Amino acid sequence: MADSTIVRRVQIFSLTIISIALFSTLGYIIIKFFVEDQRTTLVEAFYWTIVTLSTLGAYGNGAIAFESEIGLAFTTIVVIIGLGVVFLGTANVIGPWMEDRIRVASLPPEVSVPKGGHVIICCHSELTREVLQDLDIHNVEHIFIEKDPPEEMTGYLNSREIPHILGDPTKSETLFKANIEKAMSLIVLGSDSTNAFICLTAKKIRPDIHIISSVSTQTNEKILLRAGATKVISPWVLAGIKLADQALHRHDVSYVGEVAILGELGIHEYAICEDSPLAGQTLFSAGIAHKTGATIIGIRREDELKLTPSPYEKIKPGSILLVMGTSKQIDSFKAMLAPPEVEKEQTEKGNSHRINGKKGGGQPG
Amino acid sequence: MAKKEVASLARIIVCGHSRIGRKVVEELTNAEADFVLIDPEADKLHGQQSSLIGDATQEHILLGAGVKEADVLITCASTDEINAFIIILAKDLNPNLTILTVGRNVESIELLQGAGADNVVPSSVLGGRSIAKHAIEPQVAEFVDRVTLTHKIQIADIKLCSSSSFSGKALSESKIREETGLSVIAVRQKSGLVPNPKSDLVIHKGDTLIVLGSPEQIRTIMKMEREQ
Repeated sequence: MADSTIVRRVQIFSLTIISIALFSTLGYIIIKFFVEDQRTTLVEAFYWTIVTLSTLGAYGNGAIAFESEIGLAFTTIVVIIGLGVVFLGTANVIGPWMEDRIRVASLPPEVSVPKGGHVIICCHSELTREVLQDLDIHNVEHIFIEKDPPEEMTGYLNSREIPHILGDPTKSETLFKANIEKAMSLIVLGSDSTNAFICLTAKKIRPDIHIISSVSTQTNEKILLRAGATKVISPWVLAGIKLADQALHRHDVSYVGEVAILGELGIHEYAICEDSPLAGQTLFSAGIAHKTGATIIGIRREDELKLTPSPYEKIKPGSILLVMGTSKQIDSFKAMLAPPEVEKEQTEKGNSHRINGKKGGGQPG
Repeated sequence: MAKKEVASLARIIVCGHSRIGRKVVEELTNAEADFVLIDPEADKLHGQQSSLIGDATQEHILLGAGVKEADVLITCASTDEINAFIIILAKDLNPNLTILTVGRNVESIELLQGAGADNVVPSSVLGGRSIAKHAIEPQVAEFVDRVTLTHKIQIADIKLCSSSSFSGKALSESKIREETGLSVIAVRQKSGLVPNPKSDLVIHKGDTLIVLGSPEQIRTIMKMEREQ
Protein backbone atom coordinates (compact mmCIF):
# COMPACT_ATOMS: atom_id res chain seq x y z
CA MET A 1 0.00 0.00 0.00
CA ALA A 2 1.27 3.42 -0.89
CA ASP A 3 2.31 5.66 1.94
CA SER A 4 0.05 8.55 0.90
CA THR A 5 -3.20 6.56 1.27
CA ILE A 6 -2.21 5.52 4.77
CA VAL A 7 -1.40 9.09 5.69
CA ARG A 8 -4.80 10.18 4.36
CA ARG A 9 -6.56 7.46 6.36
CA VAL A 10 -4.76 8.44 9.53
CA GLN A 11 -5.84 12.05 8.93
CA ILE A 12 -9.48 11.07 8.43
CA PHE A 13 -9.37 8.81 11.50
CA SER A 14 -7.95 11.56 13.71
CA LEU A 15 -10.44 14.11 12.39
CA THR A 16 -13.35 11.76 13.09
CA ILE A 17 -12.21 11.13 16.65
CA ILE A 18 -11.73 14.84 17.31
CA SER A 19 -15.15 15.73 15.92
CA ILE A 20 -16.86 12.97 17.91
CA ALA A 21 -15.11 14.15 21.05
CA LEU A 22 -16.26 17.72 20.37
CA PHE A 23 -19.80 16.55 19.61
CA SER A 24 -20.00 14.47 22.78
CA THR A 25 -18.43 17.13 25.03
CA LEU A 26 -20.85 19.72 23.67
CA GLY A 27 -23.77 17.30 24.01
CA TYR A 28 -22.90 16.61 27.66
CA ILE A 29 -22.81 20.29 28.53
CA ILE A 30 -26.11 21.00 26.71
CA ILE A 31 -27.97 18.08 28.27
CA LYS A 32 -26.62 18.82 31.76
CA PHE A 33 -27.60 22.47 31.50
CA PHE A 34 -30.92 22.39 29.71
CA VAL A 35 -32.35 18.94 30.48
CA GLU A 36 -30.99 18.08 33.91
CA ASP A 37 -30.57 21.68 35.13
CA GLN A 38 -27.22 20.96 36.68
CA ARG A 39 -23.98 22.87 36.67
CA THR A 40 -21.04 21.38 34.89
CA THR A 41 -17.58 22.33 33.71
CA LEU A 42 -15.71 21.81 30.46
CA VAL A 43 -13.23 19.52 32.21
CA GLU A 44 -16.06 17.36 33.56
CA ALA A 45 -17.62 17.19 30.08
CA PHE A 46 -14.37 16.20 28.45
CA TYR A 47 -13.73 13.63 31.20
CA TRP A 48 -17.16 12.11 30.56
CA THR A 49 -16.42 11.99 26.81
CA ILE A 50 -13.16 10.12 27.24
CA VAL A 51 -14.57 7.66 29.78
CA THR A 52 -17.59 6.95 27.58
CA LEU A 53 -15.77 6.76 24.24
CA SER A 54 -13.20 4.44 25.69
CA THR A 55 -16.13 2.30 26.91
CA LEU A 56 -14.88 2.48 30.50
CA GLY A 57 -18.38 3.61 31.51
CA ALA A 58 -17.91 5.03 34.96
CA TYR A 59 -14.71 5.61 36.76
CA GLY A 60 -14.45 5.48 40.53
CA ASN A 61 -17.00 6.75 43.11
CA GLY A 62 -19.31 9.62 42.42
CA ALA A 63 -19.17 8.80 38.75
CA ILE A 64 -19.99 11.58 36.37
CA ALA A 65 -23.05 10.41 34.49
CA PHE A 66 -26.52 11.43 33.27
CA GLU A 67 -29.65 10.89 35.26
CA SER A 68 -32.27 11.77 32.64
CA GLU A 69 -33.52 9.43 29.93
CA ILE A 70 -32.37 11.75 27.19
CA GLY A 71 -28.97 11.67 28.83
CA LEU A 72 -28.92 7.88 28.88
CA ALA A 73 -29.95 7.78 25.21
CA PHE A 74 -27.16 10.23 24.39
CA THR A 75 -24.67 8.03 26.29
CA THR A 76 -25.77 5.01 24.26
CA ILE A 77 -25.31 6.90 20.99
CA VAL A 78 -21.85 8.09 21.97
CA VAL A 79 -20.79 4.58 23.01
CA ILE A 80 -22.06 3.10 19.74
CA ILE A 81 -20.37 5.76 17.62
CA GLY A 82 -17.21 5.41 19.70
CA LEU A 83 -17.13 1.65 19.26
CA GLY A 84 -17.83 1.96 15.54
CA VAL A 85 -15.05 4.44 15.01
CA VAL A 86 -12.57 2.47 17.06
CA PHE A 87 -13.37 -0.84 15.33
CA LEU A 88 -13.56 0.51 11.80
CA GLY A 89 -10.57 2.75 12.40
CA THR A 90 -8.44 -0.10 13.69
CA ALA A 91 -9.35 -2.27 10.72
CA ASN A 92 -8.83 0.43 8.11
CA VAL A 93 -6.01 2.48 9.55
CA ILE A 94 -4.05 0.76 12.28
CA GLY A 95 -4.12 -2.61 10.45
CA PRO A 96 -2.64 -1.45 7.13
CA TRP A 97 -0.30 0.88 8.96
CA MET A 98 1.07 -2.01 11.04
CA GLU A 99 1.27 -4.21 7.95
CA ASP A 100 3.25 -1.54 6.20
CA ARG A 101 5.59 -1.14 9.14
CA ILE A 102 6.22 -4.88 9.22
CA ARG A 103 6.83 -4.97 5.47
CA VAL A 104 9.29 -2.09 5.68
CA ALA A 105 11.06 -3.67 8.64
CA SER A 106 11.53 -6.97 6.82
CA LEU A 107 12.78 -5.21 3.67
CA PRO A 108 16.33 -3.95 3.29
CA PRO A 109 16.71 -0.32 4.32
CA GLU A 110 15.63 2.23 1.72
CA VAL A 111 17.84 1.99 -1.36
CA SER A 112 20.04 5.03 -1.59
CA VAL A 113 20.57 5.41 -5.31
CA PRO A 114 23.89 7.12 -6.06
CA LYS A 115 23.47 10.63 -7.45
CA GLY A 116 25.94 10.30 -10.30
CA GLY A 117 29.41 9.15 -11.34
CA HIS A 118 28.55 5.70 -10.02
CA VAL A 119 28.85 2.19 -11.44
CA ILE A 120 25.79 -0.01 -12.03
CA ILE A 121 26.36 -3.76 -11.73
CA CYS A 122 23.78 -6.12 -13.22
CA CYS A 123 23.20 -9.83 -12.53
CA HIS A 124 24.60 -12.33 -10.08
CA SER A 125 27.41 -14.63 -11.18
CA GLU A 126 30.59 -16.03 -9.69
CA LEU A 127 32.27 -12.72 -10.61
CA THR A 128 29.80 -10.43 -8.85
CA ARG A 129 31.29 -10.52 -5.37
CA GLU A 130 34.78 -9.81 -6.59
CA VAL A 131 33.55 -6.87 -8.69
CA LEU A 132 31.59 -5.44 -5.73
CA GLN A 133 34.60 -5.82 -3.45
CA ASP A 134 36.89 -4.11 -5.94
CA LEU A 135 34.57 -1.16 -6.40
CA ASP A 136 34.46 -0.90 -2.63
CA ILE A 137 38.27 -0.96 -2.38
CA HIS A 138 38.45 1.82 -4.98
CA ASN A 139 35.83 3.77 -3.07
CA VAL A 140 33.57 4.09 -6.09
CA GLU A 141 29.84 4.40 -5.49
CA HIS A 142 27.86 1.54 -6.97
CA ILE A 143 24.44 -0.06 -7.15
CA PHE A 144 23.60 -3.69 -7.88
CA ILE A 145 20.60 -4.91 -9.90
CA GLU A 146 19.36 -8.50 -9.86
CA LYS A 147 15.94 -9.94 -10.55
CA ASP A 148 16.19 -12.92 -8.25
CA PRO A 149 19.37 -13.07 -6.15
CA PRO A 150 20.21 -16.32 -4.32
CA GLU A 151 19.84 -16.20 -0.54
CA GLU A 152 23.55 -15.98 0.21
CA MET A 153 23.83 -13.00 -2.13
CA THR A 154 20.95 -11.19 -0.43
CA GLY A 155 22.63 -11.79 2.92
CA TYR A 156 25.91 -10.46 1.56
CA LEU A 157 24.28 -7.35 0.10
CA ASN A 158 22.42 -6.58 3.33
CA SER A 159 25.37 -7.21 5.63
CA ARG A 160 27.62 -4.94 3.53
CA GLU A 161 24.83 -2.39 3.04
CA ILE A 162 25.36 -2.43 -0.71
CA PRO A 163 22.58 -0.47 -2.44
CA HIS A 164 20.62 -2.84 -4.65
CA ILE A 165 17.46 -3.04 -6.67
CA LEU A 166 15.40 -6.19 -7.06
CA GLY A 167 14.32 -5.91 -10.67
CA ASP A 168 14.91 -7.00 -14.23
CA PRO A 169 18.00 -5.20 -15.57
CA THR A 170 16.91 -5.77 -19.17
CA LYS A 171 13.98 -3.38 -18.57
CA SER A 172 14.67 0.30 -19.01
CA GLU A 173 12.59 1.32 -15.98
CA THR A 174 14.90 -0.72 -13.73
CA LEU A 175 17.93 0.99 -15.22
CA PHE A 176 16.26 4.37 -14.73
CA LYS A 177 15.73 3.48 -11.07
CA ALA A 178 19.48 2.93 -10.78
CA ASN A 179 20.01 6.45 -12.18
CA ILE A 180 21.62 5.27 -15.41
CA GLU A 181 21.32 8.78 -16.82
CA LYS A 182 24.12 9.97 -14.56
CA ALA A 183 26.10 6.74 -14.13
CA MET A 184 29.79 6.53 -15.01
CA SER A 185 29.64 2.97 -16.29
CA LEU A 186 27.63 -0.21 -16.39
CA ILE A 187 28.94 -3.71 -15.65
CA VAL A 188 26.94 -6.71 -16.89
CA LEU A 189 27.75 -10.15 -15.49
CA GLY A 190 24.84 -12.33 -16.64
CA SER A 191 24.61 -14.97 -19.36
CA ASP A 192 25.78 -13.88 -22.80
CA SER A 193 22.25 -13.35 -24.10
CA THR A 194 21.11 -11.41 -21.00
CA ASN A 195 24.22 -9.26 -21.22
CA ALA A 196 23.58 -8.47 -24.88
CA PHE A 197 20.00 -7.47 -24.08
CA ILE A 198 21.03 -5.21 -21.19
CA CYS A 199 23.62 -3.57 -23.48
CA LEU A 200 20.90 -2.84 -26.04
CA THR A 201 18.56 -1.40 -23.40
CA ALA A 202 21.26 0.70 -21.76
CA LYS A 203 22.61 2.08 -25.05
CA LYS A 204 19.12 3.17 -26.03
CA ILE A 205 18.90 5.29 -22.88
CA ARG A 206 22.50 6.47 -22.84
CA PRO A 207 24.29 5.99 -26.18
CA ASP A 208 27.54 7.22 -24.61
CA ILE A 209 27.64 4.93 -21.57
CA HIS A 210 30.73 2.83 -20.93
CA ILE A 211 29.67 -0.84 -20.66
CA ILE A 212 31.88 -3.68 -19.50
CA SER A 213 30.49 -7.15 -20.08
CA SER A 214 31.63 -10.61 -19.05
CA VAL A 215 31.37 -13.36 -21.65
CA SER A 216 31.22 -17.13 -21.20
CA THR A 217 31.62 -18.28 -24.80
CA GLN A 218 34.53 -16.50 -26.44
CA THR A 219 32.87 -16.41 -29.86
CA ASN A 220 30.03 -14.31 -28.42
CA GLU A 221 32.40 -11.42 -27.87
CA LYS A 222 31.58 -9.82 -31.22
CA ILE A 223 27.85 -10.07 -30.54
CA LEU A 224 28.25 -8.24 -27.23
CA LEU A 225 30.40 -5.58 -28.87
CA ARG A 226 27.77 -5.09 -31.53
CA ALA A 227 25.07 -4.87 -28.82
CA GLY A 228 26.97 -1.92 -27.39
CA ALA A 229 29.53 -3.23 -24.90
CA THR A 230 32.65 -1.07 -24.72
CA LYS A 231 34.78 -3.90 -23.36
CA VAL A 232 34.16 -7.65 -23.20
CA ILE A 233 36.08 -9.76 -20.71
CA SER A 234 36.30 -13.53 -20.43
CA PRO A 235 37.47 -14.78 -17.03
CA TRP A 236 38.40 -18.11 -18.66
CA VAL A 237 40.75 -16.47 -21.12
CA LEU A 238 42.37 -14.43 -18.34
CA ALA A 239 42.89 -17.54 -16.21
CA GLY A 240 44.26 -19.53 -19.16
CA ILE A 241 46.76 -16.83 -20.06
CA LYS A 242 47.81 -16.44 -16.44
CA LEU A 243 48.53 -20.17 -16.18
CA ALA A 244 50.56 -20.13 -19.39
CA ASP A 245 52.45 -17.00 -18.25
CA GLN A 246 53.41 -18.69 -15.01
CA ALA A 247 54.51 -21.89 -16.76
CA LEU A 248 56.66 -19.86 -19.17
CA HIS A 249 58.04 -17.54 -16.44
CA ARG A 250 56.76 -14.50 -18.25
CA HIS A 251 56.71 -11.09 -16.64
CA ASP A 252 53.28 -10.50 -15.39
CA VAL A 253 51.07 -7.55 -14.59
CA SER A 254 48.47 -8.14 -11.94
CA TYR A 255 46.00 -6.29 -9.79
CA VAL A 256 46.73 -6.13 -6.09
CA GLY A 257 44.15 -4.30 -4.04
CA GLU A 258 43.60 -0.96 -5.67
CA VAL A 259 46.71 -1.01 -7.82
CA ALA A 260 47.82 -2.70 -11.01
CA ILE A 261 51.38 -3.74 -10.41
CA LEU A 262 54.33 -4.88 -12.42
CA GLY A 263 56.97 -6.30 -10.12
CA GLU A 264 57.33 -3.59 -7.47
CA LEU A 265 55.84 -0.82 -9.58
CA GLY A 266 52.28 0.41 -9.43
CA ILE A 267 50.45 1.73 -12.47
CA HIS A 268 47.98 4.62 -12.14
CA GLU A 269 46.10 6.97 -14.40
CA TYR A 270 45.65 10.69 -13.89
CA ALA A 271 43.69 13.20 -15.92
CA ILE A 272 45.28 16.56 -16.62
CA CYS A 273 42.96 19.41 -15.68
CA GLU A 274 42.99 22.92 -17.18
CA ASP A 275 44.92 24.51 -14.29
CA SER A 276 47.49 21.75 -13.86
CA PRO A 277 51.06 23.05 -14.12
CA LEU A 278 51.81 20.15 -16.47
CA ALA A 279 49.25 21.21 -19.08
CA GLY A 280 50.86 22.56 -22.22
CA GLN A 281 54.28 21.09 -21.57
CA THR A 282 55.94 18.12 -23.22
CA LEU A 283 56.83 15.04 -21.23
CA PHE A 284 60.45 16.12 -21.52
CA SER A 285 60.00 19.78 -20.51
CA ALA A 286 57.79 18.81 -17.59
CA GLY A 287 60.72 16.78 -16.31
CA ILE A 288 58.51 14.19 -14.66
CA ALA A 289 61.01 11.34 -14.86
CA HIS A 290 63.82 13.59 -13.67
CA LYS A 291 61.97 15.16 -10.74
CA THR A 292 59.88 12.25 -9.49
CA GLY A 293 61.45 9.08 -10.87
CA ALA A 294 58.03 7.96 -12.11
CA THR A 295 57.77 6.85 -15.73
CA ILE A 296 54.98 7.92 -18.08
CA ILE A 297 54.22 4.69 -19.89
CA GLY A 298 51.18 5.92 -21.77
CA ILE A 299 49.20 8.96 -22.73
CA ARG A 300 45.59 9.05 -23.84
CA ARG A 301 44.35 11.89 -26.00
CA GLU A 302 40.91 11.90 -27.51
CA ASP A 303 40.24 8.27 -28.35
CA GLU A 304 43.69 6.82 -28.56
CA LEU A 305 45.93 5.33 -25.89
CA LYS A 306 49.53 5.76 -26.93
CA LEU A 307 51.96 3.56 -25.05
CA THR A 308 55.63 4.34 -24.41
CA PRO A 309 55.17 7.89 -25.76
CA SER A 310 58.14 9.89 -27.03
CA PRO A 311 59.59 12.50 -24.63
CA TYR A 312 58.38 15.26 -26.98
CA GLU A 313 54.74 14.24 -26.69
CA LYS A 314 52.59 17.21 -25.59
CA ILE A 315 50.51 17.09 -22.41
CA LYS A 316 47.18 18.82 -23.03
CA PRO A 317 44.31 19.55 -20.66
CA GLY A 318 42.05 16.50 -20.81
CA SER A 319 44.90 14.10 -21.57
CA ILE A 320 45.15 11.12 -19.30
CA LEU A 321 48.61 10.06 -18.24
CA LEU A 322 49.45 6.46 -17.41
CA VAL A 323 52.11 6.62 -14.73
CA MET A 324 54.25 3.83 -13.38
CA GLY A 325 56.34 4.01 -10.24
CA THR A 326 56.89 3.03 -6.64
CA SER A 327 54.33 4.48 -4.24
CA LYS A 328 56.84 7.19 -3.26
CA GLN A 329 57.40 8.18 -6.89
CA ILE A 330 53.66 8.25 -7.52
CA ASP A 331 53.15 10.51 -4.52
CA SER A 332 55.71 13.02 -5.76
CA PHE A 333 54.12 12.85 -9.20
CA LYS A 334 50.74 13.68 -7.69
CA ALA A 335 52.35 16.71 -6.06
CA MET A 336 53.48 17.95 -9.49
CA LEU A 337 50.08 17.34 -11.01
CA ALA A 338 47.98 19.53 -8.75
CA PRO A 339 47.74 23.30 -9.04
CA PRO A 340 50.02 24.86 -6.38
CA GLU A 341 47.31 26.34 -4.10
CA VAL A 342 45.58 23.04 -3.42
CA GLU A 343 48.78 21.18 -2.71
CA LYS A 344 47.78 20.53 0.89
CA GLU A 345 44.75 18.44 0.02
CA GLN A 346 47.03 16.21 -1.97
CA THR A 347 45.57 12.81 -1.26
CA GLU A 348 41.99 13.82 -1.82
CA LYS A 349 42.89 15.77 -4.91
CA GLY A 350 44.60 12.72 -6.33
CA ASN A 351 41.39 10.75 -6.06
CA SER A 352 39.23 13.39 -7.67
CA HIS A 353 41.70 13.66 -10.50
CA ARG A 354 41.30 10.03 -11.10
CA ILE A 355 37.54 10.30 -11.10
CA ASN A 356 37.87 12.99 -13.75
CA GLY A 357 40.10 10.63 -15.62
CA LYS A 358 37.49 7.93 -15.54
CA LYS A 359 34.84 10.22 -16.87
CA GLY A 360 37.12 11.45 -19.60
CA GLY A 361 37.83 7.89 -20.63
CA GLY A 362 34.27 6.72 -20.47
CA GLN A 363 32.37 9.50 -22.11
CA PRO A 364 34.04 11.40 -24.87
CA GLY A 365 33.07 15.03 -24.95
CA MET B 1 64.45 -14.90 -27.17
CA ALA B 2 65.37 -15.71 -23.63
CA LYS B 3 61.82 -16.64 -22.69
CA LYS B 4 61.55 -19.27 -25.37
CA GLU B 5 64.75 -20.91 -24.24
CA VAL B 6 63.30 -21.30 -20.80
CA ALA B 7 60.10 -22.61 -22.27
CA SER B 8 61.76 -25.24 -24.40
CA LEU B 9 63.74 -26.51 -21.44
CA ALA B 10 60.66 -26.96 -19.36
CA ARG B 11 58.52 -30.02 -19.95
CA ILE B 12 54.94 -28.96 -19.45
CA ILE B 13 51.89 -31.20 -19.04
CA VAL B 14 48.44 -29.67 -19.49
CA CYS B 15 45.48 -31.62 -18.03
CA GLY B 16 41.85 -31.07 -18.79
CA HIS B 17 40.62 -29.37 -21.85
CA SER B 18 38.14 -26.95 -20.38
CA ARG B 19 37.60 -23.41 -21.69
CA ILE B 20 40.61 -22.38 -19.63
CA GLY B 21 42.64 -25.32 -20.92
CA ARG B 22 41.89 -24.32 -24.49
CA LYS B 23 43.42 -20.89 -23.84
CA VAL B 24 46.45 -22.40 -22.08
CA VAL B 25 47.06 -24.66 -25.09
CA GLU B 26 46.71 -21.71 -27.46
CA GLU B 27 49.18 -19.61 -25.47
CA LEU B 28 51.73 -22.41 -25.15
CA THR B 29 51.44 -23.21 -28.86
CA ASN B 30 52.00 -19.54 -29.74
CA ALA B 31 55.04 -19.44 -27.48
CA GLU B 32 56.31 -22.62 -29.19
CA ALA B 33 56.63 -24.29 -25.82
CA ASP B 34 57.10 -28.02 -25.48
CA PHE B 35 54.04 -29.53 -23.87
CA VAL B 36 51.91 -32.64 -23.64
CA LEU B 37 48.15 -32.36 -23.48
CA ILE B 38 46.02 -34.91 -21.62
CA ASP B 39 42.36 -34.76 -22.47
CA PRO B 40 39.50 -37.25 -22.85
CA GLU B 41 38.62 -35.61 -26.15
CA ALA B 42 42.11 -34.92 -27.39
CA ASP B 43 41.32 -36.70 -30.66
CA LYS B 44 38.81 -34.01 -31.56
CA LEU B 45 41.45 -31.30 -31.37
CA HIS B 46 43.72 -30.76 -34.26
CA GLY B 47 47.12 -29.19 -34.50
CA GLN B 48 48.57 -30.40 -31.24
CA GLN B 49 51.98 -31.96 -31.65
CA SER B 50 51.66 -34.23 -28.65
CA SER B 51 48.38 -35.06 -27.03
CA LEU B 52 47.18 -38.03 -25.05
CA ILE B 53 43.60 -39.21 -25.08
CA GLY B 54 42.54 -40.09 -21.58
CA ASP B 55 41.63 -39.12 -18.08
CA ALA B 56 44.32 -37.34 -16.07
CA THR B 57 42.95 -38.73 -12.81
CA GLN B 58 44.37 -42.12 -13.81
CA GLU B 59 47.91 -42.91 -12.79
CA HIS B 60 48.95 -44.72 -15.97
CA ILE B 61 47.82 -41.80 -18.12
CA LEU B 62 49.94 -39.32 -16.12
CA LEU B 63 52.90 -41.71 -16.28
CA GLY B 64 52.37 -42.09 -20.02
CA ALA B 65 52.52 -38.32 -20.39
CA GLY B 66 55.91 -38.39 -18.71
CA VAL B 67 54.99 -36.88 -15.35
CA LYS B 68 58.23 -38.19 -13.79
CA GLU B 69 60.39 -36.17 -16.19
CA ALA B 70 58.14 -33.11 -16.38
CA ASP B 71 58.86 -29.77 -14.69
CA VAL B 72 55.46 -28.14 -14.76
CA LEU B 73 51.93 -29.52 -14.65
CA ILE B 74 49.00 -27.25 -15.43
CA THR B 75 45.65 -28.68 -14.44
CA CYS B 76 42.47 -26.90 -15.44
CA ALA B 77 39.73 -29.52 -15.23
CA SER B 78 36.15 -28.38 -15.04
CA THR B 79 35.81 -28.73 -11.25
CA ASP B 80 37.99 -27.99 -8.24
CA GLU B 81 37.48 -31.57 -7.01
CA ILE B 82 39.01 -33.12 -10.13
CA ASN B 83 41.87 -30.62 -10.04
CA ALA B 84 42.60 -31.47 -6.39
CA PHE B 85 42.63 -35.16 -7.26
CA ILE B 86 45.04 -34.68 -10.17
CA ILE B 87 47.31 -32.49 -8.01
CA ILE B 88 47.59 -35.09 -5.24
CA LEU B 89 48.21 -37.88 -7.73
CA ALA B 90 50.82 -35.95 -9.71
CA LYS B 91 52.65 -34.69 -6.62
CA ASP B 92 52.82 -38.29 -5.39
CA LEU B 93 54.37 -39.45 -8.67
CA ASN B 94 56.82 -36.55 -8.88
CA PRO B 95 57.34 -34.44 -5.74
CA ASN B 96 59.56 -31.95 -7.63
CA LEU B 97 56.81 -31.03 -10.06
CA THR B 98 55.67 -27.40 -10.13
CA ILE B 99 51.89 -27.54 -10.22
CA LEU B 100 49.74 -24.70 -11.47
CA THR B 101 45.99 -24.89 -11.25
CA VAL B 102 42.83 -22.87 -11.50
CA GLY B 103 40.53 -22.30 -8.51
CA ARG B 104 36.94 -21.83 -9.56
CA ASN B 105 35.64 -21.21 -6.06
CA VAL B 106 37.49 -18.70 -3.95
CA GLU B 107 36.90 -21.01 -0.97
CA SER B 108 38.83 -23.88 -2.56
CA ILE B 109 42.08 -21.97 -3.16
CA GLU B 110 43.48 -22.97 0.21
CA LEU B 111 42.40 -26.57 -0.27
CA LEU B 112 44.15 -26.75 -3.64
CA GLN B 113 47.30 -25.29 -2.11
CA GLY B 114 47.03 -27.83 0.66
CA ALA B 115 46.75 -30.57 -1.96
CA GLY B 116 50.12 -29.47 -3.34
CA ALA B 117 49.48 -26.77 -5.93
CA ASP B 118 52.34 -24.28 -6.15
CA ASN B 119 50.12 -21.59 -7.57
CA VAL B 120 46.36 -21.32 -7.79
CA VAL B 121 44.89 -18.90 -10.32
CA PRO B 122 41.44 -17.86 -9.06
CA SER B 123 39.44 -17.41 -12.26
CA SER B 124 36.54 -15.44 -10.76
CA VAL B 125 38.86 -13.08 -8.87
CA LEU B 126 40.90 -12.46 -12.00
CA GLY B 127 37.81 -11.78 -14.12
CA GLY B 128 36.13 -9.65 -11.46
CA ARG B 129 39.18 -7.48 -10.87
CA SER B 130 39.71 -6.90 -14.55
CA ILE B 131 36.06 -5.95 -15.05
CA ALA B 132 36.08 -3.56 -12.08
CA LYS B 133 39.32 -1.98 -13.29
CA HIS B 134 37.84 -1.38 -16.72
CA ALA B 135 34.98 0.50 -15.06
CA ILE B 136 37.18 2.59 -12.78
CA GLU B 137 40.52 3.13 -14.47
CA PRO B 138 40.02 2.20 -18.13
CA GLN B 139 43.48 3.33 -19.26
CA VAL B 140 45.26 1.22 -16.67
CA ALA B 141 43.01 -1.74 -17.54
CA GLU B 142 43.67 -1.25 -21.23
CA PHE B 143 47.39 -1.22 -20.58
CA VAL B 144 47.21 -4.40 -18.51
CA ASP B 145 45.14 -6.04 -21.26
CA ARG B 146 47.67 -5.14 -23.89
CA VAL B 147 50.44 -6.66 -21.81
CA THR B 148 48.61 -9.79 -20.69
CA LEU B 149 45.93 -10.47 -23.28
CA THR B 150 46.99 -9.31 -26.69
CA HIS B 151 50.75 -9.16 -26.08
CA LYS B 152 50.84 -5.96 -28.14
CA ILE B 153 53.01 -4.60 -25.38
CA GLN B 154 55.66 -6.90 -24.00
CA ILE B 155 58.01 -6.93 -21.10
CA ALA B 156 61.35 -8.52 -21.85
CA ASP B 157 64.65 -9.18 -20.12
CA ILE B 158 67.64 -7.84 -22.06
CA LYS B 159 70.94 -9.10 -20.68
CA LEU B 160 73.81 -6.81 -21.61
CA CYS B 161 76.60 -8.74 -23.29
CA SER B 162 80.23 -7.91 -22.60
CA SER B 163 80.59 -5.90 -25.79
CA SER B 164 77.33 -4.00 -25.36
CA SER B 165 77.44 -0.38 -26.47
CA PHE B 166 75.27 0.52 -23.47
CA SER B 167 77.78 -0.82 -20.99
CA GLY B 168 79.37 1.78 -18.72
CA LYS B 169 76.91 4.48 -19.68
CA ALA B 170 74.22 6.20 -17.69
CA LEU B 171 70.71 5.34 -18.88
CA SER B 172 70.24 8.87 -20.28
CA GLU B 173 73.48 8.56 -22.28
CA SER B 174 72.53 5.18 -23.64
CA LYS B 175 69.59 6.84 -25.47
CA ILE B 176 67.58 3.63 -25.26
CA ARG B 177 64.27 5.51 -25.06
CA GLU B 178 65.16 7.83 -27.94
CA GLU B 179 66.49 5.16 -30.28
CA THR B 180 64.13 2.26 -29.60
CA GLY B 181 61.13 3.80 -27.88
CA LEU B 182 61.43 1.30 -25.08
CA SER B 183 60.93 2.16 -21.42
CA VAL B 184 63.45 0.66 -19.04
CA ILE B 185 61.24 -0.25 -16.11
CA ALA B 186 63.85 -1.97 -14.00
CA VAL B 187 67.50 -2.97 -14.02
CA ARG B 188 68.72 -6.14 -12.35
CA GLN B 189 72.25 -5.51 -11.15
CA LYS B 190 74.61 -7.49 -8.97
CA SER B 191 73.45 -5.43 -6.00
CA GLY B 192 69.82 -6.27 -6.68
CA LEU B 193 66.82 -5.07 -8.64
CA VAL B 194 66.45 -1.31 -9.21
CA PRO B 195 62.81 -0.57 -10.01
CA ASN B 196 62.11 2.49 -12.20
CA PRO B 197 65.77 3.52 -12.39
CA LYS B 198 66.74 7.19 -12.57
CA SER B 199 68.30 8.44 -15.77
CA ASP B 200 71.73 8.78 -14.16
CA LEU B 201 71.96 5.08 -13.26
CA VAL B 202 75.05 3.59 -14.88
CA ILE B 203 74.52 0.18 -16.46
CA HIS B 204 77.22 -2.39 -16.85
CA LYS B 205 77.75 -5.59 -18.79
CA GLY B 206 76.02 -8.50 -17.13
CA ASP B 207 73.14 -6.30 -15.98
CA THR B 208 69.67 -7.24 -17.14
CA LEU B 209 67.42 -4.48 -18.41
CA ILE B 210 63.72 -5.12 -18.00
CA VAL B 211 62.10 -3.19 -20.84
CA LEU B 212 58.55 -2.41 -21.85
CA GLY B 213 57.54 -1.89 -25.45
CA SER B 214 56.03 -3.32 -28.60
CA PRO B 215 57.38 -6.62 -29.97
CA GLU B 216 59.10 -4.71 -32.81
CA GLN B 217 60.85 -2.37 -30.38
CA ILE B 218 62.04 -5.35 -28.37
CA ARG B 219 63.29 -7.04 -31.53
CA THR B 220 65.23 -3.86 -32.38
CA ILE B 221 67.09 -3.73 -29.09
CA MET B 222 67.84 -7.45 -29.24
CA LYS B 223 69.31 -6.99 -32.70
CA MET B 224 71.38 -4.05 -31.44
CA GLU B 225 72.71 -6.18 -28.60
CA ARG B 226 73.53 -9.06 -30.92
CA GLU B 227 75.34 -6.90 -33.46
CA GLN B 228 77.81 -5.55 -30.93
